[in-house]
Amino acid sequence: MGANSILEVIDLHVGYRIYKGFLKVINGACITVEKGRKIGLVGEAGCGKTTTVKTVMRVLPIPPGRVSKGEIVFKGEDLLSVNLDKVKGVRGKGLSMIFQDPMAALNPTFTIGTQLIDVIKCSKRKGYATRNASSVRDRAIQILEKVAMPDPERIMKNYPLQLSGGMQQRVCIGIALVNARHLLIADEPGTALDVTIQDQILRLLQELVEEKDMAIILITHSLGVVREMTDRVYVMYAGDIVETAKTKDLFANPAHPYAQGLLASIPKLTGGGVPMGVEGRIPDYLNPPIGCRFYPRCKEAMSICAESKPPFCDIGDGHQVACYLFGREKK
Amino acid sequence: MEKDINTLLSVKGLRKYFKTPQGTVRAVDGIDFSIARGETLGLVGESGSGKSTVAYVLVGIYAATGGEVIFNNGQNLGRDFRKRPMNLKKDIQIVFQDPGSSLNPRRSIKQIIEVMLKTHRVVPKEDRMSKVAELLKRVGLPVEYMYKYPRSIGGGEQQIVAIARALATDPSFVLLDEPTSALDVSMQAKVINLLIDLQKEFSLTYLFITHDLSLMRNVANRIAIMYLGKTEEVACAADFFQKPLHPYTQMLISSIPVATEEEAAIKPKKIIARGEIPSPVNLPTGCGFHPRCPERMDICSEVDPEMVATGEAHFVRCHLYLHR
Repeated sequence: MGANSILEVIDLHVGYRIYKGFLKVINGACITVEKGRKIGLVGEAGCGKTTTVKTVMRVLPIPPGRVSKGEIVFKGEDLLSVNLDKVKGVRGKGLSMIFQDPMAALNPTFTIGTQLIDVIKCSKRKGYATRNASSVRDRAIQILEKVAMPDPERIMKNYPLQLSGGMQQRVCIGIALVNARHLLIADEPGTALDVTIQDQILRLLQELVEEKDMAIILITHSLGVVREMTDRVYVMYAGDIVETAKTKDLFANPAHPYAQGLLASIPKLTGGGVPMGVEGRIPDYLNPPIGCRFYPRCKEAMSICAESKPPFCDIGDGHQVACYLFGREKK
Repeated sequence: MEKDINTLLSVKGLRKYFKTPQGTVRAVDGIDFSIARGETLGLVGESGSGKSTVAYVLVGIYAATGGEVIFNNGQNLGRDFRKRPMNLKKDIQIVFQDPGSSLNPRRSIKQIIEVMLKTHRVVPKEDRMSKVAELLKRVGLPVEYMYKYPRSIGGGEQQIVAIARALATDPSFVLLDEPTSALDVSMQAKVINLLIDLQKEFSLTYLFITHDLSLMRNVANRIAIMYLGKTEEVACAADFFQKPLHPYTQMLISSIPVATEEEAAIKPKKIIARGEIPSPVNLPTGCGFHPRCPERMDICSEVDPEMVATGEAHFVRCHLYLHR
């Protein structure tokens, strides 16, 4: 474990038990987050991005979810071995998450003020949680100001339904910021919003993260967002991390056939028509392919791909790719 | 927008208001546009700008409050949507945003497509089955999918079924209401390519509604930007991205997250997006965009600007270009 890393996900296997059997979703994911780094996690819908971070936050419902193998180390502590009653304390030490749909993340029956104050009261941050009602309230208002909410006094009394999607997401960011000091996980924070609002939310997140020197894991399926926001990208396909690189390297020189296909399927602002997407679908998690999970859709599939899972292969400057195309070149 | 044989649809001063306890919502507040045969017009705007309402009025789900919709140089379709003749209903079809909720989960795909064939008497009863098979084949789905239910196929395939259903009546005009916003990029590429192929094959005319401008760049011939129930700028797709005129268009284009350097280069100098779309119940006075506009002048809060032509087929509704 590097001295600088604050979160390490090591060989994580997560699945869901359903009536038909066991869905093997996350299949040995490894992610390292260093202090103050901005990490992007991209992939198609249903490829396990959210499952991964929910496991990290320990909010994955168990059952049906089950972590069959792996370790999640946050600041030297294995999160998976922490008792569920104590996990709140660990989260309070500086780990927070923003969910995709702000409407579903906020409780519609309580005012914004109540929900914000509850989080502040529960905070494990030293000297932050007080019993003094007025100072807690002041803190809540400060937080709303921090996330650029107009008229925080009034917003405190509003219910989530009275706010627009962008404002709700600002509240969620505010709630996440109460505890986040080391790592913030943002699960598609702008996807449910319009482009101009998404732009505002992402800019706000970037400012706050840089100001506090926090690390962030940004989950998204928009490659444009990743390019503009992050330093390092992990490309996920069907529960596997297939490629990781510095953001610039990945966009300049994607190595894995899936990453290439994904990059090629974005329509360009400069025109030039709509490219063909990657053929086929995400595999059935009940009986996933034994070898590389991408090989049924891969144009460059070889016989070895069907047999065993390709190991990570470094192709220079921390650019790692899990594909037999590259292991062979080295030999 | 005079009558000519090339124009398939022309919309003039279309308005649609909704009465609610909070006041009248002006969802669509006087828009004009026309679509030529075989063209794809892109309609872009934030949520709440009235894009979908326009589509619903055109397809006949709502009756218009005012203005006219002329289809094929015929009668006004805006009002009396219940009296709209069957052959016109057959000619204008729609594909909705979320295929999960626009396909009946309790009907098989065969039944879903057959309803259209029955209602519009497209083919005789005994040929229905083969027509469904033919449609599925055309959109690239296996014929066995006929017996499947919407839930058991993927989101992209559901949307393809919805497209097959829209094509079942052999329409000339198809409204696409954010057909790919619920899909992944790679599935989106597949659906869009299918739509482009079908357009060529059946000489269809599309009104393509989306909020994804980079997609629009590659699909539409012309683009209209909507804001608060009004069109702000109409231009050819290439023009639109090379020299966006309206401050709102510039804000939109500069907000798009892009994946390559060349794209970043064509974005206008960063106009910082701020503010949110106001409620259509309490519209701002004057130009609807003035509270968010970086270049607002005194006149903007008082007078609503008129649409002016600034070049060939490039129209903009902004005071900046009005007094030149």
